[in-house]
Amino acid sequence: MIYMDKSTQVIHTKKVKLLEGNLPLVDPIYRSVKYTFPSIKDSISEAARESGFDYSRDKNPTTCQLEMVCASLQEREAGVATSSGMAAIWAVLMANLSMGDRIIIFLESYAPTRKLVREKLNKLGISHSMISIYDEESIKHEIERPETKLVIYESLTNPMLCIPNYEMITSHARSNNVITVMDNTFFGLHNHCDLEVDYIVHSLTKFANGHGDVMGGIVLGNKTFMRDVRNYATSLGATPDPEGSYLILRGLKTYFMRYHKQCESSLKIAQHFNSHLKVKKVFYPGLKSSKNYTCLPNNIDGFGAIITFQLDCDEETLWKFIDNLKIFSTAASLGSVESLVAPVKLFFGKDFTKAELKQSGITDGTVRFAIGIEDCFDLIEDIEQSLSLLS
Amino acid sequence: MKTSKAHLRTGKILEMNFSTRQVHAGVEFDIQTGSLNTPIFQTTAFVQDSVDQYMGKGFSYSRTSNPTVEALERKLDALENGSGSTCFATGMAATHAVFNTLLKQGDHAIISQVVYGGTFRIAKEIFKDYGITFSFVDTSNLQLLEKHIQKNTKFIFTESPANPTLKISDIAAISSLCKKNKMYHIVDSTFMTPYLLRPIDLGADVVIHSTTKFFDGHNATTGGVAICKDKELDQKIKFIRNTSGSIMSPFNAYLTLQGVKTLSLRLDRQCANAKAIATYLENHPNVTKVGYPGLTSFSGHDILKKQASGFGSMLWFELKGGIKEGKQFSDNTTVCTLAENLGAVETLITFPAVMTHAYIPEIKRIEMGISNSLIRLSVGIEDVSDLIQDIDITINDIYG
Repeated sequence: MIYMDKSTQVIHTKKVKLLEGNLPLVDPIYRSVKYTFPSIKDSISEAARESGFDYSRDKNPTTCQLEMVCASLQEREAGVATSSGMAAIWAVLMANLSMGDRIIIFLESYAPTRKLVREKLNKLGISHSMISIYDEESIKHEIERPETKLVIYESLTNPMLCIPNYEMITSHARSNNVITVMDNTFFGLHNHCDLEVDYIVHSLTKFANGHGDVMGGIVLGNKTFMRDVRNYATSLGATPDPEGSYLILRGLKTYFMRYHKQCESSLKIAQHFNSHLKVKKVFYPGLKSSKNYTCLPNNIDGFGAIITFQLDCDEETLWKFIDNLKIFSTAASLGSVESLVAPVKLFFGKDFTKAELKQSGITDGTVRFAIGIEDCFDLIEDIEQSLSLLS
Repeated sequence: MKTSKAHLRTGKILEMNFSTRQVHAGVEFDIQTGSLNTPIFQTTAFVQDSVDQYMGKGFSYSRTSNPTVEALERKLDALENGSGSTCFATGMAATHAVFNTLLKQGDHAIISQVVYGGTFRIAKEIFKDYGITFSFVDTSNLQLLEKHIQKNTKFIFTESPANPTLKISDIAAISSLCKKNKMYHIVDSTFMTPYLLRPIDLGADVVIHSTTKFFDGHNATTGGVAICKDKELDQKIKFIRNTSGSIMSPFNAYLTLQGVKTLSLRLDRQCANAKAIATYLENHPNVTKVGYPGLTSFSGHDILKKQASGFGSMLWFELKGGIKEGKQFSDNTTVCTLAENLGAVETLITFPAVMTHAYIPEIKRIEMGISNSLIRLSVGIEDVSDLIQDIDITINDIYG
């Protein structure tokens, strides 16, 4: 050991050594940006390339732990976590598309995904077809176009909760060499494992974290497919913070209990209001009357925790209904312990033309509920009292 | 289990069930940004508008109070039906502060005979030196308890269910005994949580919790809380916290706040898992005894059935043989982990004879109900058949 001044020692501290087998029960948060190797030779070895750590924008042990858990829940080989769900979508699209390619996106998709394709990809020379998720003829036709490279869809569309014909889309895409990307956020992290989609993406901000305090996203797929995504994500730099990864890992521990409770309450609420005098229509995939209900896989575990209502009213009356709710907070997230409510046209319909709005099914009186883990009857009572104030 | 105490948005008061209140009580949206979650106020000092308006906004220095810590205090207070609560860096800091608040030289106090080791130690090794005397009495025996009351007895400190024997004391009966004798009744209710039992509703004066356990629930923070029936006593406890400097950190308060939101989900699952494991163990030929308050055979079952809405996630069992078999079991499980915490999502094992209670002479320890092969399980939220399979394989390996 060379002599070191205390001002050097305070930086190059002796490391605390844990006794072998004396492990923390909860994995530590690796805050370090840089990782070292004993020699340059070690740092460029095969082992280092495969499973080493170098710089936290590429890989971080806490974030890798998160990627492993999510991959195992969705039965995929690998995952790349990102700093938000939109970063995951951006990464998977940019890793796979180049100038001249065409992408299929649906009118009923999540507004920011739709905007990304319409406004940004266009500028990069990537064209798109925007069609309805129910328009199976057009879907087939668009998939067969030679320049079509990729189709992105939601396993349950946001906010109108349309159920796609999964089997048709995936099998048709496969036989035409079109890459499939499925945003599975609304169905949680353990459903749809058997679907032969190439990539599954999630906003981890929702059910995974579940406590409304971390942004995060993930792309999941087989190892070969994920290599390009990892490379692109490293350049993109939309890397999760280790602290955020830790909090999502912490949230995941209660994931199943939260998800099941939320689904159970949602089904009860949807059934309760399904024939309510003041509710024109209830959208919830657990209702057997839902369009494409039979397309849902038999082994689906819970129908999610988002319910959309159509009230027969103008926009101002809808806002009044929302403001009068006491337990539901007005905010645009979902999948968390607290119940939230959102005016659909105002929050998700700004980029639509009148015709598109009509086609997507969004009206002035459309409202989306994200159901939390509160007592189900308290939630029903709250919606009831606010409905009763409507004339 | 309805209350109108907890409030949501300012001015809107709703009657809500426990599982709603655990999410919303105490949470006030951030006025400046509308943040749904309570911000982490990681600040030491708070700026004062002017000298004349000193403390006008309620905060000065984070050793005295902090808005994130206060949000947790509001939540726990609402869940326990208290009139004031104080959060600490650990559960022991809470116990220590309550002792410090209520005891002075020449006083006497009664503590449950089977009690958490830390509580035993501060009484025997710290407060004894200040000229305070203690009697350690079986609090499940009311006649015996009454005999130990002296003129200078300040309080009865009940731990129920006790650690690790799970001995049940009658909270309501001890509370009325205390009232009759003008003493305080302090209850360490860590094993129950307000979801299952609320001591203040049963007449207790102070409830203590190690928030490290069920409230955090993820084995990630240490913390404690003292919740009072009476506002004045809460102020006295806060004075001690300020002078002894044992307040909880804002970051731990934040993580605990988030943990409490899933309390009832975790406990429902943990209680059901514990019941299933206890029933399985009762029928195992190499298990000689099982202690779980949810079993009708367990002494005190009827009291808990009356006073609580569930039986908790703690259980113990004795294996045929002694120390050797107990050690073999503790060292060889796969899903269950050998670690000294409880109440969290992971199932944990402790082996009291060698670990937590090794300091007690063997004869005395066995007399207290902690035999040589007693294994304590804190049952988590894992799949129950995975847990039973793990326990089954481990026990069967011992006996071949």
